[in-house]
Amino acid sequence: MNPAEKSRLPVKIHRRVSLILTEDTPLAEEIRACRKLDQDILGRLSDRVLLIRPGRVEAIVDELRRMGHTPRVISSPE
Amino acid sequence: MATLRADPWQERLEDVLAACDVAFLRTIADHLLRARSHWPADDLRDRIAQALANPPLVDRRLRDLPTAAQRLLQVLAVNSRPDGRLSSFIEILAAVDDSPGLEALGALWNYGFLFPVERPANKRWRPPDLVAETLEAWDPRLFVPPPVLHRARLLKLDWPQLPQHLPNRPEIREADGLEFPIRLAASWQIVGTNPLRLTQRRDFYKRELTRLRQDPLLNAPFADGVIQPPDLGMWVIDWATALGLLIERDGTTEAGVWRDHWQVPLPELIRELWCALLEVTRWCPERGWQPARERPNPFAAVYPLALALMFHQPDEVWLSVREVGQWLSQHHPFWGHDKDGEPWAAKLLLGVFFPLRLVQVAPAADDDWLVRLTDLGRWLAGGRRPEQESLAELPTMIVQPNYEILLLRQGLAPRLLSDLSRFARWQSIGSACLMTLDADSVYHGLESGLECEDMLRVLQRHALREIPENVMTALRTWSKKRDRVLIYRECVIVECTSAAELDEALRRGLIDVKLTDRLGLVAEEDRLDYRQIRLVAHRDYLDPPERCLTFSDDGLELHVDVVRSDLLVEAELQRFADPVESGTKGRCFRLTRSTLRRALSQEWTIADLDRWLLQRAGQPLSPAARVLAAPDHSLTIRAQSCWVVRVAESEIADGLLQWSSTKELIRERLGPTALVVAADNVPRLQQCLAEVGQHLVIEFLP
Repeated sequence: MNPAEKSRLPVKIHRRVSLILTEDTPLAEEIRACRKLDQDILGRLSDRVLLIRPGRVEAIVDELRRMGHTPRVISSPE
Repeated sequence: MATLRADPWQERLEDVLAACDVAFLRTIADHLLRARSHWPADDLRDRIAQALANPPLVDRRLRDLPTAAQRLLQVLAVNSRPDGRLSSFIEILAAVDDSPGLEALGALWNYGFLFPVERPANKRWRPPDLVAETLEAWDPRLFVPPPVLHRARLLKLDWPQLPQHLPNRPEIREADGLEFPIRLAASWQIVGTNPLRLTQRRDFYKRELTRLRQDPLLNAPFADGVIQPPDLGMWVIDWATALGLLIERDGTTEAGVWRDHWQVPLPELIRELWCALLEVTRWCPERGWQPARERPNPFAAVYPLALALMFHQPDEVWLSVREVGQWLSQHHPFWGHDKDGEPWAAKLLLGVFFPLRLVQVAPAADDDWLVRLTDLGRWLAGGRRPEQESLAELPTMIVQPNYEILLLRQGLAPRLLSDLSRFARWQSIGSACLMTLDADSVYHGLESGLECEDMLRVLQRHALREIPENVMTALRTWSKKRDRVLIYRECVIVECTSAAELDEALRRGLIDVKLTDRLGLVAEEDRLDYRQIRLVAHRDYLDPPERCLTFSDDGLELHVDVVRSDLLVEAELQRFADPVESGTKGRCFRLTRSTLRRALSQEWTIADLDRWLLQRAGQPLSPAARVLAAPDHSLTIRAQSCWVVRVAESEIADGLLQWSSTKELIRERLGPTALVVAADNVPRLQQCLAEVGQHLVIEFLP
């Protein structure tokens, strides 16, 4: 194996993932505590990372806004 | 001179020529080229396209057209757009010439001066038979090649001359042209906050209509107005939709995007508004909001007719609004040659053209008004360009410590209107306008693509005084609040095999955000440097979950298939199992009493675990794991002293169970050849067997 090949990192890629990344754990807990939001959350990757059910991003954004949050939606590279 | 946007139309011309019926192409060639040779169709198309861009040739052919067709082209030339509905063309023809217009339209087809905007789908195109029945069912958009319209402007035609008047007082008024741009900007904000639902007939629901009729911003009185048009709120919404500032999607009118025409000087924006006004179909000055029409809106023809009529009067001449209205209503077929004129003429000229800065107004006797085209109006109709308005960013606002922005109209430019509308909320529209800043409006600004510094820059550049410190601090605080919750719509998660490799990926800049010890986020897959990674597997988030776990023989270890696993598997596994050193077998998780009890003490139940494992491992929780998961003292397990009687064959066991003497001594059958006997009964069993000549061997196992 040549050095270049050796330095390549073996990874698995998950494409088209929709997720919420919160600033802190209590905020993620608050989101999960809301029944309307929780039904669109598929699961939790970590204390601050929640996976969104496919196709439910808009519903989540609307509900968060309704709750008074100001989520930043990242659709493309910044 | 106003420049018509030619490029897209040139492409469209080539497209429609390619779709033309060959016989019709030859008709055009006969009229336009006076062709004597029999050229192939492709040659004909090229030659026709070239001829339409040849000014001397176009001039000669224009002179050959019937007068009605020439006048139609001159009216269309003031439109700043070369397209329109067939019905409008026919109405203009009827207004500018007493003879039937169909002959003139036929001439325009035959000279190649009129084409359909939409290329026919499955058949070669040729001009339709223009009978009334056809028009009822088919009212296509047509266009005139822009070079033809340019030349048509120069034709010397006799236009009707209206009586000239002088104002009875020297009070000449010209609007600043900002009334509609400000309202359109406000409509973007209003609809962005509360989208409007549409009925199947593209009307608004009653509640929405009431809201629009009562909206204080959209219906605010004109700062320098003569007449307020009817249903102003609905008109602005329809206009903004035609302009692309609002969009209709899935039965709802929503906020669209700010296009480039908001980055130009005001006259250019007004020209765009004029072009879009011709697309406003649900509102007219005469009756206001009227979405359910049986016939096309006649004002699509009236707007250019009125502008052309005034443009072809001598410069600086004042015309009576009443007389302009009389001419239009007497000649336009919609009003059936009404000799009295229509009250809508005042709404049109004073309620639409005046605030749009197309005409100046002055008072006349008998409660009438006089109008004449402004420089901008003349430019729009094909005259000389007015003096270029500066794009320089003039100070025109005062930002106050209570987060209010006082806007003075003198320095307002379209760019500033669009920038402010994105992050400040409109409060009132008048000779000075008021906007406010709050967390929500700043959030919308950020969502529209602005950064906090962009907003501060807009305020600083246009403010007459220094921005109060508390406003700047609040703007920064509100902007930061947005970063508390980030939502990635479609990102890429990179899963590394170990925490050390994820750290290495971070060090190399392959990962934007570290999510867990082995997962990193990349906002866009295009940014992933494939030269630095080796793809072990990939998976689409939308794919359904697969079986990717296998139980070990002891039923307490779960091995993860890396190729089939999805993002959630390991996150969820960790809720009831602990990761163990993977070694060469890949990632592995172990079920222990503490991990299982931990899961059960939270929201999991045994049924949930069974369901989850059936989906991911193809089998429910293993028996061993069930024993571990059982609550303290919940299982009944007894140890009892008894003897196991083993026989060589199952028939012997059957016999002992059937024989009445021994049957009552046997407590339970453990298997085909094993029976349980209570310790007290062993001597009796021994005795019974001895009676039939058999011997019971007593053995004590270690």
